[in-house]
Amino acid sequence: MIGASLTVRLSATIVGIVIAAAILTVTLNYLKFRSLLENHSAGIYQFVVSDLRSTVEAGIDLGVPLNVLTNIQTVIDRRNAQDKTILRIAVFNQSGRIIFDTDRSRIGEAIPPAWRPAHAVSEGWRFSRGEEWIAGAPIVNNFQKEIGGIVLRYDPDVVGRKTTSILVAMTSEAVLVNGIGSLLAILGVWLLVRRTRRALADSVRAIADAAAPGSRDANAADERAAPAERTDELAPVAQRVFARLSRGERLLERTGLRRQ
Amino acid sequence: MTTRNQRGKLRIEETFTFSLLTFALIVLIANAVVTSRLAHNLYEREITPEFNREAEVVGRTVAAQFARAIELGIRPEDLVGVEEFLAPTLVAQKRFDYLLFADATGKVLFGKGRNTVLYTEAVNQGTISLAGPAALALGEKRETPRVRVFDLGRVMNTAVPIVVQGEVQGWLNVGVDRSGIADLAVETRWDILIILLVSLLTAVEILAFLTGRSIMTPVRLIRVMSEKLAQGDWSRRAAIAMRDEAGHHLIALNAIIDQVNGQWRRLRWKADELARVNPALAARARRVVDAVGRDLKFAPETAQLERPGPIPAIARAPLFVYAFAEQLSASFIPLFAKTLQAPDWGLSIGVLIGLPISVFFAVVAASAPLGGILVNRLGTRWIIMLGSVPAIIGYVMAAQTTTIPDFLLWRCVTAIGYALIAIACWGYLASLPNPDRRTGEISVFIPAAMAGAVCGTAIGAMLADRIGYRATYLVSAGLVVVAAFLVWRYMEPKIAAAGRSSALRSTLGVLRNPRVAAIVIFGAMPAKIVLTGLLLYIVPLFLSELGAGQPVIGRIMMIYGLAVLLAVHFGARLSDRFGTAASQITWAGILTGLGTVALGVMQPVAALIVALVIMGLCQGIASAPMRSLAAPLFERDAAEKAPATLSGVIAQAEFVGAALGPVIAAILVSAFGYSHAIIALGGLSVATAVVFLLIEGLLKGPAANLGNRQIP
Repeated sequence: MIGASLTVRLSATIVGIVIAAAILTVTLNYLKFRSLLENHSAGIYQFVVSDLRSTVEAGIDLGVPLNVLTNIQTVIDRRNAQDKTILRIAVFNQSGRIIFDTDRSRIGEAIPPAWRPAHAVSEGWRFSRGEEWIAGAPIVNNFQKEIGGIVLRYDPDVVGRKTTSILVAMTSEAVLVNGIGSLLAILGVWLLVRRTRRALADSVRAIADAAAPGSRDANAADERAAPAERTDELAPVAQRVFARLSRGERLLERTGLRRQ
Repeated sequence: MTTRNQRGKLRIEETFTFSLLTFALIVLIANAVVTSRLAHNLYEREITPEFNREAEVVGRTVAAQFARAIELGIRPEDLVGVEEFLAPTLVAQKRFDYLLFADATGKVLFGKGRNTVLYTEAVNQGTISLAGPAALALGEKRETPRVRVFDLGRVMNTAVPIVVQGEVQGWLNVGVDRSGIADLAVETRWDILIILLVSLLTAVEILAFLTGRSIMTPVRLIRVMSEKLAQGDWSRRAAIAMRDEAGHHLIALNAIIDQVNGQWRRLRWKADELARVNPALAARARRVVDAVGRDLKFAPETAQLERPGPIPAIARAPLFVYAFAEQLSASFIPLFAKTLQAPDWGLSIGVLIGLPISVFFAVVAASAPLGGILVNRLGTRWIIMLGSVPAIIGYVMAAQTTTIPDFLLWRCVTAIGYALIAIACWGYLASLPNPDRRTGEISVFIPAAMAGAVCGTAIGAMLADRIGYRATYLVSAGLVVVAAFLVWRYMEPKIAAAGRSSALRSTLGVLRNPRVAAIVIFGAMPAKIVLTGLLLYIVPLFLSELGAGQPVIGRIMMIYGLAVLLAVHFGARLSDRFGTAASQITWAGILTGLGTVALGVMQPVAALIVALVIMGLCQGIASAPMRSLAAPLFERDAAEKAPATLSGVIAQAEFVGAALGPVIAAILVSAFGYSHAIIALGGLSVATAVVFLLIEGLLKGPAANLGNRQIP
């Protein structure tokens, strides 16, 4: 058996639905904001990578091999310095070995496999895996042959900070609105249920009164009353039955006494 | 409880549900309004600077190229091919309205894009002032030129200085279209509106379930108990499920029943004692006992429990949640299949991506008879819970799949679960007392399933857009767990539908009647062929090809369900009052077909909406008449079984039609393209409706005889 009253159960349902709706709204909006900001940021860095790629390819078009294009180091350093959200820019050759890098200690190392797509993508790539937020593009020579690539790693906190502040703003407003709304709903349910509660309580009291010893011995004439038509009219029905039973008992007692 | 209390009961249920929904609605609307306003503010606050940052980054890159040219000694006004140079950037950056190269004072030298006039007007009006101080005062330091942003209403203008040797030689102005932000805000408002609608429909379903369980069931029990007591039956106690206000009332009733029975037992004991002490008084004592017990019934030793019977509302919430779960993926099944590795089966990709829908319904149709047998043996509750297992496995595995054959396999597994659940729900409704059956079907099964479909389609599309197709399948699995819990917790364990053990025999028997066969073959089946072919297959693919995002696809698909919900009661009432069932089925088919003609005269998205609204209204109007037209065709003694059997047969025909729909649509699309395929499906609807009309006209006369054939 469940003990909660009707008011509690109905209020809990409405509040539950309201909270679920608020959670759904906030979550979906948050996800939308996040995906929008992530795509937007990625688009910006993709543009930066494309621009760097054009610069590198312009040099290659002049016939200079990739590893000899020493001005690339200056170009990527300058680009890195211009935007503090860019954490690192690296240029790698066909075999995946880094030949220019804003983190000079990495030159000569192999590019992390996770930074390159499994399949060649001519227009560039972008992805985020944990803390690795990457935008990249292949470097293609005059013969449309891929001879290396550029990767740019950017700060995920750029998006993270914004989305967190958005989530906090949305959640706090939702809590406020839904808190007030839920309180009003509970009050409304209480007012709505009050009459029914009272009617049921009156009915219960009437039935209990009918079962009280005094009422049970009510006049037997009540027996002839019309049949009960309502729950709260069950009391007279019960009284009639009690009266009949009591009369029967009295008859039996009298019969026994008379014989004695 | 009598008229007054019956009225009271209705008042309680209706007033409660209506008032509770009003409270919920007020809070939900307040939530929607505030969230919508907040989202708009957040876009302005957080996204606008991001757009400006993009303008700045791109502007700096382009400006650097101009700076290099100027460093080489070319005067800005002498640069050639600037527009051609700017064009690719404008194409790549879709949010940019224009790129303008202005001199140091802000005067436009070269430009490309829309709304460049806004910039010129702003310069003329002084809103944009890029000219720096002509000369520095003594000791004054020249500031590093900074990027400057101007709000021009429809456009945000970001002016990036072109600096050569510390001097500003010009400005590269990037105009960012602000309507992009407005579009996002509009899109968000739509999302919020959809969530509001879904919340309301969910609230309706849950409150209907709750009022059914917490108010209707105890009130019904109070009524039954009161009637029994008024008729003198004091032999049964009420089974109490909850200790709320109604529960306390029942406890009070039980207390008085116990007292009455106690006093009765005492009376009998006294009579027995009297007879034992003085056997001469036995007859007299018995007469007293008989007189007291005349017209009254008491419990011999322990009173049996009176339980409330099944009510339609109990099946409603789980059914809603199951439909919600299944329809989460409705807006993207062919789109998801398109992303999977296709097998080399010699079928076109169009047919392959429609197969998951077809196979699903084919398996549902094939599993339904088994479901009927199982429901009869194990009862509805266990079958619904049993059906939840393959449904959950199917959804979870569909989320992991990488190839179309695997996807087909897991959709088959889900379909088995879905079939068991659907048949068990029908079984539950068929087990209701006679007057509640049809009400249950029209007021519970179809509305709950369609409300679930509306909510699932819309929210599923939004979820797919945010968390992806695969994760959305996992959400479906989670919802099935919730529904299974509701069934386990609240559904009576031993309810089974009568007369469903020989489902196949019943089906064949029903179809032997030519008028019923006409309803099934030319009414129910074509309706589902058009529905799944158009709604589940063509609409997602066509809209996606037109560039619509997943949420838009979901919103448009949802319209169908809403239209059905609006029309289904109206159709049932119309048919009941005027006996127009056959006309409704015919006109529904014809109008559904005519609705598709919109594709020939309107812009595709608007035309699809028109076609879906008409199809939804028509199918809603024809849904109840299909069953009500066929029901009287059975012999009277079979009428008891008819609703369940007939609904099962029509549902099975609908599943077969649903299975054929995507394949037919895929073939039509590959032959004629989307628009003409839709019109062709409409043609099929018109043609079958006309055939149905002819058969109905021919058979209506002799129908009285034909119709009286016995159903097995």
